[in-house]
Amino acid sequence: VKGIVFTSFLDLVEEKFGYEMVDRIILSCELPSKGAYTSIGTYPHSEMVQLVTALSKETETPVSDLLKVYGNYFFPVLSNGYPHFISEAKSALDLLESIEHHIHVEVIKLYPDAELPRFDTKRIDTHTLEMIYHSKRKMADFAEGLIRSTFEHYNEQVQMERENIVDDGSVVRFLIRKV
Amino acid sequence: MSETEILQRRVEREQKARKLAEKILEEKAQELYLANNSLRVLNENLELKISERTADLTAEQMRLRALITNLDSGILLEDERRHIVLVNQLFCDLFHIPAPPPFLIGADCTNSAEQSKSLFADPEGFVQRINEILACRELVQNESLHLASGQIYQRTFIPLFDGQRYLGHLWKYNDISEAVRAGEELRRSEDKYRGIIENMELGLMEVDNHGRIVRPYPRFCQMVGYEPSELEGQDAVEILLPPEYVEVLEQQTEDRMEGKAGVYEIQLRKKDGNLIWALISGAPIVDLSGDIIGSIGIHYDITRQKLLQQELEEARKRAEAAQEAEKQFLANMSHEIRTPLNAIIGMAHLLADTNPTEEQTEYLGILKSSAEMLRILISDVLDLSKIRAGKMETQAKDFDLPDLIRSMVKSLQLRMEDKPIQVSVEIDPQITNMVTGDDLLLHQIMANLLGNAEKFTASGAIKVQVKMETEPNVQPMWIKICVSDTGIGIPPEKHDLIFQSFRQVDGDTKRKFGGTGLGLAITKQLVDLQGGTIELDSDIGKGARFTVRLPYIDSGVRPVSDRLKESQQSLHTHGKRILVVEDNFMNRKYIGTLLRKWNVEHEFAHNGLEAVEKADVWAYDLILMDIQMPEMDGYEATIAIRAQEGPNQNTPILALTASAMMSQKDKAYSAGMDDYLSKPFKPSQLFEKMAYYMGSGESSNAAHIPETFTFDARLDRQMLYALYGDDLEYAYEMFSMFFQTAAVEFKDLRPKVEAENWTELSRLAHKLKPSFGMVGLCTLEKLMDRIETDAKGQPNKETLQEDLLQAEQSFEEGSRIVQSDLHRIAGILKK
Repeated sequence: VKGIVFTSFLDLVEEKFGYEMVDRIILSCELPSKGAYTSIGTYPHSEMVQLVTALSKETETPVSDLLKVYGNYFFPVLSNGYPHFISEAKSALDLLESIEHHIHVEVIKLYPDAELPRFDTKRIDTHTLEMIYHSKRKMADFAEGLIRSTFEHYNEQVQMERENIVDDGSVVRFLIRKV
Repeated sequence: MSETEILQRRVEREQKARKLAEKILEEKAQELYLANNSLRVLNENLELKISERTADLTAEQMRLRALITNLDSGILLEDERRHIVLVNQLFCDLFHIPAPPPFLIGADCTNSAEQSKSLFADPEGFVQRINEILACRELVQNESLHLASGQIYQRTFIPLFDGQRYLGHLWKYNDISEAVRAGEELRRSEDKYRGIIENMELGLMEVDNHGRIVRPYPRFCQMVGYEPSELEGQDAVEILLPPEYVEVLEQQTEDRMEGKAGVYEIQLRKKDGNLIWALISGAPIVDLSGDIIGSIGIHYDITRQKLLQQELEEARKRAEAAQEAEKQFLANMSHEIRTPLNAIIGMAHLLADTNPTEEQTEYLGILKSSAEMLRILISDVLDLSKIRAGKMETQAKDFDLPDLIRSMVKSLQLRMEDKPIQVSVEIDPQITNMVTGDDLLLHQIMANLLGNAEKFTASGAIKVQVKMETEPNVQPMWIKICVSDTGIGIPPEKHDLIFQSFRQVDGDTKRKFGGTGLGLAITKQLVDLQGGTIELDSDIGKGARFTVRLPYIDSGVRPVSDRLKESQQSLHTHGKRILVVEDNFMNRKYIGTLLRKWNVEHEFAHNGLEAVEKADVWAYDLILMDIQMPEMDGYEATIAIRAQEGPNQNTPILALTASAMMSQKDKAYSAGMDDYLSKPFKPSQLFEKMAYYMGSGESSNAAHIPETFTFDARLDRQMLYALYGDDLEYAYEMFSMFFQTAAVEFKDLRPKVEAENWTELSRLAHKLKPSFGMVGLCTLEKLMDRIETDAKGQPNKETLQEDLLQAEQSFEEGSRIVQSDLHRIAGILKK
């Protein structure tokens, strides 16, 4: 997992709960990196799981909610940091459609070691997109947060249905409708 | 947990993260540097490649530009906005543009047509056409443009497209004035020669490869009576050719397509339906690319020549017919003159036997000699005409040459008895055998030479020398015969002359000595005919010597003793009967009187038919047969007599021919006649022949004279004479032995054939073979030889049976003949 995911996550925790909470969850986990993250580094996914789980315990908030909030928080990080990736998309649905075949292709060029989820998209009609999430990391919640913040970015309203295609959450279907 | 501690941990974490980040960044910088480096190298390579490609393109463009610039055509290449992309010097020259081509590149051509239109004969038309072409944007090829100066340009327009996109166009201009002028000159030159040919009364016509008339020229049209417009486009064969010449023309057309020229004669049908004859010289017409596009025919009217030729042909036929008639006339004359002459001579002889007075004898002498002269004259004329007609042929048979010469000299001696001329003969004793050659021709040659000597020699000597010039046993043997006299002689300058027809030494000679002047000419031709030579050695007052050299074959056979002379005195006629077949009254009378004088019983038949009827009833010992007779001629009568199984099937038949043509003699032999006597004949000639064929028979008054024997004509006489000569005792012995041995053993052949005992059969046939030869049965001798050979080789029973059957039939007849001859020999020997 790219370092930016960790640094952004810790930034969010510090922003909401103060650095004390950051220090606490780092200390409560057994992290090979000792919690020293740089956005350009690469770290094991297990560290992220530990940190989110630790925060969930400390704040008594479900992991899924935390991830949705974090997804929401992460979109501006990406859109500000890599504006050229999204500049061509004129709407939220356009952007979502371009993830698999444009944005991820460019990401791999920048970070050849990046491990990215796969999105299969299908336009049902002009305003409806079916999007299927595949990832062994099972972070569909994080994806949902990102999707919602995409609509916010374009000032669009969205209605979304979500169902697990595989029970463990490794394959998840989103039906996204622009309202 | 104090704030300080948290802060301290935060700082530591951030320091650690920064160091990690720095390390990552350093690595990334390294990567970037390396990537940059490789990018630079890549870029350099790329640049090199691009410059290489660019250079290639530039070179290619240069080449194309050079090519277009130097093309033998004016080239103008414009882009889609009609700006000049490329133009060459030739284009500038053609359009009188002073600026050098490079300056013109990029110039706008929108107005160029307007600027150069003054060059053209039709300026507005030029501009209009340019606009049309540009509007259509379609390929235009080889348009001709006439310039005000009289020049002619040729224009091609090529639009350039890249798919649908219009890229511009190319103008190509050529000055074709020279080519057009040359073409016109050529055409003029061709027209000139065509004109000349036309003026020479030669009609020209051109057709295409399908036989359609492309161009009929005036003279040709006159020839066939059509207007040019009536012929153009027509099928030449259909309109002009009679059907019988279609094949000839098809052959010619085939030749044309192969590029061959040819000359032929055919008839053409004129418009009015009349036919003319034309001599045609045809040749293929070839276009500039070498393809045959038709043919041209030069026609020459040869109708008049053809008519002349036909007339000449008819004239030739008439002349030939006339010549044939002349020959026929001569042959007829021969008959017509000889027959009465025969009677005259005969009657003169008979008159001499009627005890005439001295005066009558003298007159008879004149009559005889005049008739004789007339006979010689006719013979000469006929001989000459025969030789000229190529009808005189040589006939080879064995004869006793010394005997012939001796008897002729002897006869001359008799004639010269009362003249102061000594006649002598010398014959080479080396000539012992009979020679094979033409005795009649030699007789005639000698008669002429001796006659000549006799005529021109008043006193002195006539000498005949015969010499064999080749070594013995060399074939052919050359015999030299010299006849020399002590007569008036012939001047050397006339030597060639005397061998020519109707020529004598001079007119004086003719008056003095008479004659036809043909004798020596005939002699030379007769000598030539036999492949011999004749020479003359003579001068005035020194006599003459004629030397004849003739080739003969040595027959290897000794001559038998002179039978004819002997038999002349041994004609014994008791109990013999002769049939005289003769339609001519005078001749009948002549022959009849002679036969009565010789006491020969005889009767007459007046034509062939009567002869056949008589021969069917009565047996004769000899038949004298005239040839030309009404009802049935002598040949037919002979064939009929030989064919019927009457008493005269094998009786000797003697032809009496008026014509001396060799072909008639041949005809006589092939009809089955035994011999011939040429009319007119002397009594002695008839007597000789009769004695030869009738033999002496049972003589009552000539027993003291040595007998000669004539073998049956159906036996191989020549062989028998060669075997026995006059030795009749030997012949008797052999003939008798034949009946005791061979005739008995012959009967053993059949059982051997039936038993298929081939070895024995072959052996017996071998043994019998010579026995048959000894009695003159040569057919059986040959059959035995065949049976022997066949039985020895691969015997075929059927074939051998057939051969044997034939042999048996032959034997039956042959042994009867041999038996009869044996009796006759016995009869003679008894005396």
